[in-house]
Amino acid sequence: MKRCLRTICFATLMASGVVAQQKKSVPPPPKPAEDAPSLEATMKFIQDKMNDQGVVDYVLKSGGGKDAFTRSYVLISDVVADSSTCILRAKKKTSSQMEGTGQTPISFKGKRYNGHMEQVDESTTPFKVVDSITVESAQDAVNRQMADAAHPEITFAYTPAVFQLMLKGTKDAFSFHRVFKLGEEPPENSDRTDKQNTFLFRDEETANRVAKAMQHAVELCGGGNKPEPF
Amino acid sequence: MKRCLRTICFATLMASGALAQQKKSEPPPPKPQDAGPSLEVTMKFIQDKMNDQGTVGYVVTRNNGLVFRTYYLISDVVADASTCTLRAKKKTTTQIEVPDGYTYTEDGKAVSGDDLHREGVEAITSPFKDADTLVVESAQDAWNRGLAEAARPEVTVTFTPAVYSLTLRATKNVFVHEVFTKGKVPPYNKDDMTGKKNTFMFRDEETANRVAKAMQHAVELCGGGNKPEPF
Repeated sequence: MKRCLRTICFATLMASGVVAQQKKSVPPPPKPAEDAPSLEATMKFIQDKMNDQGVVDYVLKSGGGKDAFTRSYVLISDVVADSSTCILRAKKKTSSQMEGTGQTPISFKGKRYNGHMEQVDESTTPFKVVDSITVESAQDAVNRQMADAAHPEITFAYTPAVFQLMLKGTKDAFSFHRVFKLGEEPPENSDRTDKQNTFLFRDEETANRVAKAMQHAVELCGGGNKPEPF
Repeated sequence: MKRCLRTICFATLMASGALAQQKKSEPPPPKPQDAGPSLEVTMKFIQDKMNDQGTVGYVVTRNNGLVFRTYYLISDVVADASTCTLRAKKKTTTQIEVPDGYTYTEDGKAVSGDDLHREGVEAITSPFKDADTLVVESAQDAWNRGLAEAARPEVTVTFTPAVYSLTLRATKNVFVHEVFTKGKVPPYNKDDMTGKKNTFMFRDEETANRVAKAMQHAVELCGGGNKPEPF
């Protein structure tokens, strides 16, 4: 049970963070036609769609867990898709509350807490280093990551389904500033760089449309898959 | 699972060899214009793909319930075009999980507690000019075939998730140096050993096949591969 609680916390973080390989790639757009949207129009579309989404709520439950679950709220805000620099800046706030644990103490990385976690990530994503963009269900992504981490016996269910858009880069060029708050503990600040960035969407259609726009922006910004010898 | 056998044939070599046997000597055929990527580009591709993979996690479950939770990392790969040699480190960390009521034994002795945790780091050197064949297949198929060929067909394993092994076979022994840790016993250096095969694990089949294709090309450029045999 204790391990289950820890893994639910882990999966909650993963949902808003790092996920490895993807199955469903967004097909590359055809070469821009004469009437293809300009970079300015494309960046504005991305910015507006991401800012307009509002809070995405879902419940995360471990397949092997008993009654414990995590209620999560994810909000993407302050999105600026800057066409002059080809950079996407965004804030992602994830609040989660673990419930249904009964008398079992809740801990994260060895620290006991009241089950409430809050994380705000400010990310900077330069489109010119983006290599691939994928959309898939957050549940599939997390479960695959658990299997890839040699824990196929641990599975999670998302209710309702939410969809993850992942941008992968050719190098650690995506930067993040994180403020993390565990229960009543004081907030912790950290900075890091990574090769990937993820955004959650309520519906698959919006995620795919934003992904298509991002793919177009990446192409216009000079990024995307480069040919490899094999 | 699809078994992909890659046998390296050297049509160019064989063709020129056949020509040499003819009484009337003719000039060798011109080098094909598109002979593929250069050795430098090929070796860099191999090196980058292997270094970029990261840790591959998987669970091997034996049909008696025994679980080997495994983390495998290829690192420090150097594919040296000047010497046609591939050097790499392979670190395998395994936790053996024994089902209730079962005793796990090795060499007739029961193993338990800390000794169920293993860590092995192999530093390998594979000269491509001695490489003979390359095979990519699912690790599960490879392992089960190995058990059957060791007269243990009643023992089978499943890999979750599927992982893929790329095996380089050589005509001569290649060098392997291994540092092995079992439980709390301090790491010790196993005797340096040589072997005729070298295996790398990959998370996905596509990457394994692409690296195999690049290795096949490198072996060809390095003068290795299958040589014609009389029968």
